[in-house]
Amino acid sequence: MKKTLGAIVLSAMSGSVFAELIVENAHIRESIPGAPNSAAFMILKNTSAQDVVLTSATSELARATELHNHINDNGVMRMREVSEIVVPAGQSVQLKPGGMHVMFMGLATPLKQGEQGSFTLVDQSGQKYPVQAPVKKIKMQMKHDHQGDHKGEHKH
Amino acid sequence: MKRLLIGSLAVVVAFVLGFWGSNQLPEDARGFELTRSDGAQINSFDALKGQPYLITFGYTYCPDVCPTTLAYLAGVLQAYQSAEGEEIQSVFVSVDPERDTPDKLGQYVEYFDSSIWGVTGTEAQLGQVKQTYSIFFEKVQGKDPDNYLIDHSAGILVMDSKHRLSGVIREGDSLEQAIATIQNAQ
Ligand SMILES: [Cu+2]
Repeated sequence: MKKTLGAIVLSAMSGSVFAELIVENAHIRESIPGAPNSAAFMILKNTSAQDVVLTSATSELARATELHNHINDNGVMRMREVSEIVVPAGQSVQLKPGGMHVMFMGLATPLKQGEQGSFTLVDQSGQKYPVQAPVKKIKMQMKHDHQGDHKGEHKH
Repeated sequence: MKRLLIGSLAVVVAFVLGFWGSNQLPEDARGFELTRSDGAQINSFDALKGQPYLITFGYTYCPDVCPTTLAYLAGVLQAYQSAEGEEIQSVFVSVDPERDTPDKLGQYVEYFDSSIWGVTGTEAQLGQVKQTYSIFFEKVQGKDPDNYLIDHSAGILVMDSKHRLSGVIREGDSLEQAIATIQNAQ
């Protein structure tokens, strides 16, 4: 029964809903020209009374899909594959830039804003959580849109 | 020998002072010599013409921290230009010359802001950069030999006209703070 529920994907605006794990705000970073890797970020909400321990991720988007974290070691960023991401019972965990992420290494094709990408999170018991997420361009934190407004001359 | 001594001094000082260790170096040892994405050999003293500049370090295979830093940098550059009416040169140094070809590096920085210089160099040149800016980077082998990662110093260094470190901008600093840090570096 648990398995069946776990496999159901409700494509609501808020994300995909599972028996224990709700995936919210999932998005995949648009790949940057020249770069073969990308990452997905999201909020994982565990609504059950038991911890959810994610142990892997799979996707057809890339040659390898891994769970990663960043350690900020005195100003040095060390990105590492992690063996698990624990979402404690009744709590949320945020996968965000500079922290944990689902890492796509060796993209099959570049990812463009507006596309959808899918990947699957897998927990300790082997239960799968398929996620569909929009591809989004990184925010440039500009006061106004910078597109088409480059400084005219190219210096390089 | 002198190089070596300066080098070991820089490593020791870097350990104590972080980025600020770079200011202990004699002035002529504070620049860089690297290849820009358009193929030009850049000597920082000639190319920057005694102007302050921003410099940050990373690699294009980095999917998370480097894009975040460069997107933030693009915001800072634009905010600085609207506030001051002039541009400040910024430099993204790839510490991964093995995979970051000039062409890829050029496309990568252009995505964020076409004024950013994407530069890299030989292992020896990058070794020099490590000492000059008191930064750290080191290759980390993954399961897949082609997909190694690189640990590297984060942050954007603000260098003054004499190639001395004047300040450090970190993501999360407001644009106003970042502009103030740059203004300090005249
Ligand atoms: Cu990663």
